[in-house]
Amino acid sequence: MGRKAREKLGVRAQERAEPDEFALVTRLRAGDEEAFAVLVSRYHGSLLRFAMSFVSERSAAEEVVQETWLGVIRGLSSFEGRSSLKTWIFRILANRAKTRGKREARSIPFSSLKDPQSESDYEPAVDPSRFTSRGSWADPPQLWTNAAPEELLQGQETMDLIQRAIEELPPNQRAVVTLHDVEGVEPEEICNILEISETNQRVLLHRGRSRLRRALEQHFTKK
Amino acid sequence: MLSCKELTELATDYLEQDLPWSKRLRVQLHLWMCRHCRRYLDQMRKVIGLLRRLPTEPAPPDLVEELLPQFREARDKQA
Repeated sequence: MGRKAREKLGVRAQERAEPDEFALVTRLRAGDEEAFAVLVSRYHGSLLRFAMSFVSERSAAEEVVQETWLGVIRGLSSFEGRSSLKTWIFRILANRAKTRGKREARSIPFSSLKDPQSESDYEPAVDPSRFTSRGSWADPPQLWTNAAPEELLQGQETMDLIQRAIEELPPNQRAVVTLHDVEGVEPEEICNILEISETNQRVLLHRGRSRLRRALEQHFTKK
Repeated sequence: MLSCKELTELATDYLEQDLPWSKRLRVQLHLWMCRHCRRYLDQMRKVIGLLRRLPTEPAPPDLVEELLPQFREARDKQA
């Protein structure tokens, strides 16, 4: 791909994108079926996981992902590279999922969190009863395991536990944690995908992670 | 001085290096003196580490075949 074409696809996206993304986009636009197979195998699992933030049923999530792929196919020729390919695809999914939510008269609470730091919406990272009146730990965090903690933390049981804890997060926290910590999407791209402010993104990430820490704490210390 | 309770609310901004330097310094000073908060932050790091290692489900083997007719149709329209 020449310099002009690269510029057209956007330098910023190039910096963040998968190393072979420009080559992949070029091949996709040329109708290369192998490139399409690479695209599907690279992102399908991530899309399915992200879709589960919006719909609780797996079959519904699979349908949203299927619709997303059709949207990707239709939109490839107009992809301008203003974001990375991954962000663009995630954005298509978020839009499909929101449309689906409206159709099914369910509201997806991404913009419902207008002022996450207002008093009525306050969600502390740690139960306030665990602190003294001066804000010091009265009931401090305990060691999660006594024996071979690293091994235990890397085990299948722990992975299953965190997976279940993610499933129990409120949808907006789940979406942000999934994009930021599981998929490694940049914060500004998350705001773009979910159409939320930077402040909301940070608050949701913090609350989501805090809930997950509490879930692991309950398991490992039986509090 | 920053309280432990305040530190737990700054944990994500601290780990993401989103704090202004003066606040970051206050967090670091607190961590230097408070082993409970060091443990708290370590637990947050463990959560993030686990999230990064979550396995991704592979695409169903027949999915590409199912989507290819639409891909070809779009390609032919484009041509």
